[in-house]
This record gives sequence, structure tokens and C-alpha cells, in this order.
Amino acid sequence: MTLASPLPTRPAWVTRPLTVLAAVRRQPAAGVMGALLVLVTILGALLAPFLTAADPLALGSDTLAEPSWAHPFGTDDLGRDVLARVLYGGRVSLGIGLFSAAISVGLGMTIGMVAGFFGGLLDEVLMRITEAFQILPKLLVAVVVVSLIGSGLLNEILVIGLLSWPATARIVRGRVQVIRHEEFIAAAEMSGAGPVRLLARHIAPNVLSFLLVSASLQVASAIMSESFLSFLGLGDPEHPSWGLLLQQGQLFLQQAWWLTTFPGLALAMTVLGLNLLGDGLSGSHAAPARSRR
Amino acid sequence: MSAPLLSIRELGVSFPRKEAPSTTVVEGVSFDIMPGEIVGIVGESGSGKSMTARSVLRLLPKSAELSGSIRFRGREIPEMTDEEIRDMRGALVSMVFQDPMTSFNPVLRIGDQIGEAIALHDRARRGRRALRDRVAKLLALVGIADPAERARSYPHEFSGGMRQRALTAMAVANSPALLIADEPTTALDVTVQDQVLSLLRELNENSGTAILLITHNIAVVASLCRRVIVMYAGRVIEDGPTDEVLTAPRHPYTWSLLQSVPRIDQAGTRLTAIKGQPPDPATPLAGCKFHPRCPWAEQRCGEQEPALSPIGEAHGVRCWLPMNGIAAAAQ
Amino acid sequence: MLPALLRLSLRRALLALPLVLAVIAFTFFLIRLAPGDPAAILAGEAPTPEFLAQVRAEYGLDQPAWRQFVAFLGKAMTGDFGTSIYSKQPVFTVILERFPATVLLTGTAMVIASLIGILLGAASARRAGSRADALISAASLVGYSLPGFWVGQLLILLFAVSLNWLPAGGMVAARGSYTGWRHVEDVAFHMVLPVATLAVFLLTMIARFTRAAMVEALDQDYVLVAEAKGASRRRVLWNHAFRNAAVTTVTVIGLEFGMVLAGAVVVEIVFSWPGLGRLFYDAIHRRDFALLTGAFMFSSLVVIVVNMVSDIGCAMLDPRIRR
Repeated sequence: MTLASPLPTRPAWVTRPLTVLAAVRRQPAAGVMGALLVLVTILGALLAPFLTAADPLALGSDTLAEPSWAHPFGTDDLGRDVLARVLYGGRVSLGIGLFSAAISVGLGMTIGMVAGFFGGLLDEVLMRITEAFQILPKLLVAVVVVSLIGSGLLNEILVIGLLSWPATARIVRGRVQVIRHEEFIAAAEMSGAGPVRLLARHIAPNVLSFLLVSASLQVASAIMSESFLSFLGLGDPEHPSWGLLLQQGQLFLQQAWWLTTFPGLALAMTVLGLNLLGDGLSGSHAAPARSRR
Repeated sequence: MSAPLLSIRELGVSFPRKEAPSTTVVEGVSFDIMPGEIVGIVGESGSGKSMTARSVLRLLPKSAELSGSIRFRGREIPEMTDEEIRDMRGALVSMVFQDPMTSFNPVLRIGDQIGEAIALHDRARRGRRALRDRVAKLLALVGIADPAERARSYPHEFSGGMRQRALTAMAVANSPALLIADEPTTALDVTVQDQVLSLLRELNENSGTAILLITHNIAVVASLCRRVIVMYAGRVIEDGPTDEVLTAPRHPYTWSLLQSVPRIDQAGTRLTAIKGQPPDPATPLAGCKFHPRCPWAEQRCGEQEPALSPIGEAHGVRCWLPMNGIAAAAQ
Repeated sequence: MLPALLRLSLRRALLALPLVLAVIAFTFFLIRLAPGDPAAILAGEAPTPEFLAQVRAEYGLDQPAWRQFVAFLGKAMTGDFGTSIYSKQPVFTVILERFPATVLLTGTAMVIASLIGILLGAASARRAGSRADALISAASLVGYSLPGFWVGQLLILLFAVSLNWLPAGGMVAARGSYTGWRHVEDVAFHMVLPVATLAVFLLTMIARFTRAAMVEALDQDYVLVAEAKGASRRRVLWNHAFRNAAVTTVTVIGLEFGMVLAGAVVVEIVFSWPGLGRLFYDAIHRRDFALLTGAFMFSSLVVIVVNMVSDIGCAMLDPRIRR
């Protein structure tokens, strides 16, 4: 909006062209740029074997070597090629992010739809639980759980996925509450559709469109969460993610800048891309206000 | 006759657009308001009446372009500095807005918000106590019981009618010479509407405040205003004494507007809605803006726009074929 | 006003209590759920038989499960989180020793980030749609997307390794222990980079949410009414729009405080800052589970309390929430 002193009763045709113009001018650019960044990282991870001949786990004699033609991103303390580790690390980070997000979005959608659809006591209880999960320091919970039950890809995915659903649940619930009162739902109800059918056939399709937004933001957040766990030394050393590379980099921060710079760049690019994509898809430049009211 | 309090000439408001002609929402609007006069502006939503009212206080959206002349007591408002216009807002000219539910800041006390209106223009810098007393007096004036106590309330603790009264109290806090009321009763219950209207009438009678009343409700105009201005598609299409305009309209639009209002003395007759839609200001339309909906339109109506021309004492109409008033009643 | 707020605070505290209990119960079941003997988990790797017996007795691990839970709960509620295997000190003592450093770090970052974040968010909202707004919005999205520890590492590479202007880590200079004013200066010098790192994340978050809330507030009728009263733009912006937007800002800080604390953990690790975060790291690596679960319960309590305070703050800012 380009209005400095806003009017409350601006006729629709005054505001609409302006908002649409502003949106068209800014949103797609951000969204497209985000999509491009994400595409680059996905391609990098998928095409890793074609982009480098090096093995991310193969030890070499050339330890802590600066970036060169042989090793564009340098080598680590055990002589492993950092470029290969970043490319293959993308598979781990993106994979964990994708699977965790699948769990959290699925769970959040189910809980949000049930709470928003049935309302009443069930809604009250589910929202209290959601609020509790939202307040608790989820990354610290993840740290304690993974420390106690052991690290490993599956554990990381499960823990991050099971802790990250509240944001999606709240948005979906709000959306369902609006749809619930629309006429086509009443019509379907009158023609004898049960709650399961209503939810699956009539409400879910209306929520799906903006689950895309939620999903891309959730993947970003899951990748960040994973890098947090790995940075604290709870990653799977067999499958080094970007977070794990950064943890190793921390040990040689003063000697080898390339160990932190490149994996961090990949991580930041991916997360930024996903956030841009999510923002672009949602059509609003600012994050949605999360009000308690 | 004395000099007009407010004198508007050839007022225009438009929104420039990129790579397209700008959208004009107000064009060629001219009228005067005398001290102590109550003038009504009627029109549908989108007719430019609110934009006209807001131009007077320069409260238009930032992207709006203002043209023409607005003189208040002989001073050109579009030429004032930001500071001069701020000194005028709320002190000499004040405004009451449509929705009393959203016009108060929800997190500040009612009394503090009214007090702010006073303090902003208080050159004598009265103390807190004097300010509190003045606020209580104002709330009492608009008929709020227990005013000193209620001043400490928050907006959500007031009913809609009480908020509109408090809003009016805030607008008259500095005894302005002109009060612009933009749809002051639209959001209210009928009984509360009457209270607010009598409040406005009292203000006018007791302190001589001139009032510019923006409304789409003809009954409100009939009960309060001596003069009425009818706007359509950003233009003044008729301007005259209320009783004349309402009983013997000269513009077909005014006539159809009156036909669409239920009247007690004509119970049982059919109400006729005006066919069609007002023109979109983003697409230019040649000729009279009403011609596509006008049952009497001729060829020249679609080619050339008529000017607002006098048609009787203090009565003007913007039409090539003004109705003769007698025929209108018979239609 | 005070009695109403007092009542509200008590109510919120009462609401927070189940959450505290849930955290303790969760921790208890996690220890029992983890593979292996709970006593062995709490006693660390290769404990002496005496220490194992001590742990067993301390937690009542020879008793039935429900009695164990009651004992655990009772101890946790009184601040008895067991004994750290590494330092052999009570966990609570160890935590309290480290806590002030974390408070100093997060508190300073929070104050700086709130000030700058609110100013940026307001400036951006006021010129919504302009180039400056687009720039601020884009910059805060980038800042929001950068992993905190990586920002810290880059700052070290630039300001400590390359330029050698600022210390790379620690809280005080290794050589020579200063006292009095010199000590304060020394700590402040060491704080610059960690505080900046933590503040980047925080301030971008605050700027984003403040902008959204301010854009919404500036679009309200009461803003126009305030202008019609003759209020200056600055007055409209801060006294009217921001008074409303502040509710969102405070809510967000409360809700995201868990993330802030997690951010502090990694920043402390990157900069070897001797606070709670460093404690987490050490506890993980020494497999000191009594310390880890203790630090977790303590941090959760801090997060719950901060959230409660932000709730009360919102109620103070917005009379409609006071009930």
C-alpha cells in the first residue's frame, strides 16, 4: 500500500488497483527468486555425483588445504573435499527438512482441521496443547530427546517433525473456522455428508492451497532445526549435514575460513530461498501477525 | 450577505496511475458554506462526497492529487504548510467519522483521547486538572451520565451510541467554526441516530457551529439541513434549498434517488431502484456521467457534459434537460 | 489498576503451573524411556558402583514408578536437579553459576534488538510500499534466514581473525584479571560480537512483526481521527499506531523466547561464552545427563516465566485483554 494517511472507507476501486499493483510489483519477484535459490540447492544435491568427482567421506593426505582448482572449496582436517561434503550434505539437510516438514505439516493440518471443524471442548483442549507446544523451547526439547534416545537420521526427523506442528495447526484452524460457516458446507451437510466426508472432500481442498506456504516455511525451519542439533554435536556423523560441517568448521575457525563459509552459505541460501518462496506464495510481504486474541 | 466560511471552487481529486490516465474521483466541485449554516451532501458510496469532505482537512491518501481552491475564512487550504494545517485541524475545522466503533484508539482512555484534542491546541497550557474538568464538561454536554467517571473508561466499555457522542464531544472540544460529519449516523441504531442528530442541531443552535453533513440518507438531510448538495460520480449535479430539492428535484438522478426512498405519505407505491451501476472512474466517460442510466437521455447528453447552472434562486443543476419540478411530482 | 494486574498475574501464574509440571513429567518419562538403566543414564558412563548406588538412592530408582515420579517431581519443584557427574556438584548450583552470563548476553541483545527492530519496523511501515521499505523488508528477511551460529562465525572471521579488532571468544581477557571499572570494560569488549550475533536474529524478527502490526494499525480509523485532531505525524505514529502494534511485538517476543534462548545457546558455543548454552554443550559431550535434564528443566522454566511476563505486559498495553 502506498497510502500515508489511510482512509477507513476508501471505495474498493480506489484501494484495489493500488494493492494489486503493489503486490504485482513486489511479490512475484521475491517468490521467483526464492524458487530459483531453492532449485539451485536441490539440483546441487541431486546432481552431486556429476558436479564433483570427489567422495565426501574419502580421507586425503592434503589436509586443511585452501580452495584451489583441485578442491574448489578446500579440504577439511582429514583431507576430505569440502565441495563434495557441501553438495552431499545438501542431500542430508534437504532430506531431513523435507521429511520433518511432511510430518509437521500433516500433523498440524490434521489437528488444525479437527479443532477448527468440531470446535467446542475438543478445540479448547487441542488449542491448549498447541499453545503449550508453541511456548516450550522446541530446540532445547529436541536436544534433550536426541541426547537421550540417540542421534541418527530417523530420530532427528521424528523429533523435529513432532515438535514443529503448532504453527501450521493454528493457521489451518483459523482458516477452517472461516470455511466452516460458508454456504457450500451447509449445503453439503444438508445433503447428508458426515464429518469425515466434509473434512476430506470439502474442507481439505480449500486448506491445501495455502498449505504450500506453510510447507515451504516449515522445510526452512526444519533445516534450521537440524543444523542446530548437528551444531551441538547431535548430528549423524555417517551422514554429515550442513550443520555438522559447520560444527567441524567451528573447531578450525581461526585456521580455515573455508570450512565454515561454504556450508553456511549453502544453508543460508536454502533457508532464504524457502522463506522468500513462502512469502511470495502467501502474497504478503510481512510475516502474519500471531495474535493471541 | 456576509463572507462565506468555506468556499470551494473547481475542486478535483485524482489518483495518478502508472502508464494510464489517472483516476478522477472528484471533479469541478464548487460550493460555499456560510457561518452557522448546515449543509448536507448526499450521494451513493463512491460519489466523491467523502473525498470532498476530506479535502477540506487535507486528509486524503498520500497518492491523491488535489486541484482547485479551498478557502477557509479567506485562506487557501492547499497552500498551507503542514504546521498551519495541523493548527487548523481539530481547532477551527473538525471532523466526526462514520464508524464510532473504530474511531477511538482501543488502548487509550476515552478521556485521554478527548483531552489530547484539547491539549494539542491549548496555547495556555492548562494543567491536568483543568483538562480533566474540561473533558468531563464536554462529556456532560453530549449527555453522558457520570462524565468524570466515564472519562476513565476505555472505548470497548462504551456502547456504540455513547462512542458516537464521545466522538462528537471530541470534535467540538475546541468550539470549531466548522464541523464536518461524515456519515455520523450510518453505523447506529435508529433511536441512537435521532439522539446524535439532535445533538448536532443543538450544537449548531447554541454555538453557531457550521456543519457539513455527509450522508447517503435523505431523511437525515431533510431533518437537519437547510441546503443540500447532491453528488454523482465525483460531480455536484444539484445544489439548492432542501425543501425545493426534495419536493421538486431538477436533476433526473436526484429524482430517481428520491424514488428509491420509502416515504410514509406514499405508502403502498412501488419503490424503484435506479437501473445500472455508477460509472467506474478509472474508465473515462464522455458527456453527462448519468446518461447511461438516465431515462430521458438524448444524444448530446452522451457527447458533452453540462455545467452546473442556476435554475432558480440559490438552486443549480448540472443537466441539459432539467426536469421542471411539477412534472417530477406527477411522474 | 494494581489489584487488577495483581489478580491477572496470579491467574497467569496459575495457568503456567500445569506447563511446568508437564515439562518435569516429560523429562522424567524421557529418562525412563531412554534405552538402558535410568540410574546408569543419570550416573554417566562407567560410574563407580558407589556413585551408581548414590544415584539410585537419590532418585529412589529402587521404588515403584509412581513413587519415583513423585520423588522426582518434589525434588525438581524445590530446585533439586540431582548431581552433575562431571563436576560432582549439585546441578542447580552449576546452573546458577552460569545463568548470569546468559542473562547478561540475552538481556543486552534483547534491549538493543528491540530498540533497533521497533525503529526499523516503524520506519518501514510508515513508508510502506516505498523503496526504503522494500530494502528494510528484504534485509530483515535475509537476517531472519541466516543461521545464528554462522553469522557468529563470519563475524569472528572478519573482526577477530582478519581485522583483529575484537576478541574471538570468552567473557574476559585470558591474561591479567581486571577489577572494578576495567573489568566492566573488558566484559563489554568481549560482548560486542556475541551480542551483535544474537541481536541480528532478534531484531530482524522484531522488525518483521512490528512492521506488519504497524501497517495494520496505520490503516485503522483512529489514526485518521488522530490526524483530524491536529496531531503531528510523529505523534500519530508513536502514540496511536505503535501503542497498538506494541501488543503484537510483545506477544511475539514472548512466544519466540524459546528460539531466542536456543539462539543464545549456539552463540555461546561459537564465542565460548560461559553461560547456560555452553553448559548444554558440555553436558551433551560429557554425557552428563543429570546436568542436561536439569539445564533443560531450568531453561523451560525461564521460557515459561518470560512468556507469562509478556502476557501480563500485553494486558497492561491493551485494556481489552485485561479480564
